Amino acid sequence: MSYPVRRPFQRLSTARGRRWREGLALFTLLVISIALQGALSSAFLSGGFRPDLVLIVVVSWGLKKGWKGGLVAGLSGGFLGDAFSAGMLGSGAISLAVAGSLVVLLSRPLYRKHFSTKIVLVAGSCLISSLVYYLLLILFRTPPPGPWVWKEVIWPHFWQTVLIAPAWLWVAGKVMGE
Amino acid sequence: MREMRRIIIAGAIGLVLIVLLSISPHLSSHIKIRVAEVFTPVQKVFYAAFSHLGGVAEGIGRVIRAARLNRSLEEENIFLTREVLRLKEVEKENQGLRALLDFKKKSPYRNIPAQVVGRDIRNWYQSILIDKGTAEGVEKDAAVVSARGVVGRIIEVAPHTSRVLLIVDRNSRVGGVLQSSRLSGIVEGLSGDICVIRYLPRRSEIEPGEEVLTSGLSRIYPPGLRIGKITRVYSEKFEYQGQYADLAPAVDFDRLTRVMVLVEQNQF
Repeated sequence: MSYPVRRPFQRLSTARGRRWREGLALFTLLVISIALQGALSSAFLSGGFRPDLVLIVVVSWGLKKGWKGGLVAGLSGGFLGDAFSAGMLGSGAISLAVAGSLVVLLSRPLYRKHFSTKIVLVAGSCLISSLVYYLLLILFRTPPPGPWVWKEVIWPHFWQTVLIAPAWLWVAGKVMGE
Repeated sequence: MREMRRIIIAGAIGLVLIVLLSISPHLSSHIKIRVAEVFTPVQKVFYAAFSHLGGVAEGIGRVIRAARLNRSLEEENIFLTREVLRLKEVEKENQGLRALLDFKKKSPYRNIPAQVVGRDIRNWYQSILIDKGTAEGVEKDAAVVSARGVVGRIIEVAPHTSRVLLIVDRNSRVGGVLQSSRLSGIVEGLSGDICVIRYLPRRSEIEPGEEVLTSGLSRIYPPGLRIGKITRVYSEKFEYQGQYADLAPAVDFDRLTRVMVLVEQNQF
């Protein structure tokens, strides 16, 4: 008489298990991105170096899973990010969700598998997320003046994120099994 | 049916986010700092590792700068030696006066040492997370200082984590006084490494290089703490607004690893 052998974590090999694994990989990547983002400025002499690693993960995930994937990753990454910022709760979640889903929808005609296209999409999503965040500040809080926002927030956010995008897109791709 | 479910889920998410944005800042702060506390151990590891990395890079830079600084420091040394002798005389005189008045030296603040575990992840704000909270006696609005000067104030507290709003943040306001001229103004944050002191009297002589200290007029910061040095002086557009000046903070916020939280003794 033979008994069926049940391997440990056998259930994880199913489609549902794969989804869980992918979700776990995304969550781990988001947590590491936030921890790195909060620590990076201490490693540079000039200071103020804060590239948006979470946004890069959101865009990467969105390109792999579609606009809904970008929306979910943006919401969860943004919400976690809000906890590590002095800003209002929910603002980061909304701005990243909008950027993550909109960039995927708008880039449909493009060949998105090419690495340089992904970098361009990260750059675009940077601007979208910053503008949405500013809009939320106008709606719910006292917004800072526009020229200050461009000089101190949007421009540094843009170039710092684009600068680090190739490396972090590569890391995200590896973790997500691309 | 499936389409309907999607619409309901999207609507629910949207509603939750609108509610999150509309809830009181007090409740939102409470939720945020509690979530941050859960992930603080991860953040702590990364911050410590990158601080060491930054330390190595800074070391190389220091060697280069040290050679340039050496000559000016020698001249400054001669001046300071004279100054020390003068201050010793003042100290003796002070001791005598204290004894005369039976002055009891007692600090009204309790010092809580804390370690920086992370910086604000967004460029919009200038804040740090520290590894001490209500369990150690930290309170909201307590002043935070370092060996060099004022760092900021506590804005969110959890049992073992707190968030400090730095003085360089745009939402920060500190009562300041110029050390030699005793003119007072309000120090506001401007960007990552600059502050501005506003509402200084229009016809007063203000020189770049002058030290700015806390005035003690706000209930948060004790008087006499270093804020920074004046770098440039401007005049406001309208006469009644007086003068304003850029300020280089005394604290290097990028190299900050240890701070001290000042909690009033009678409150704890």
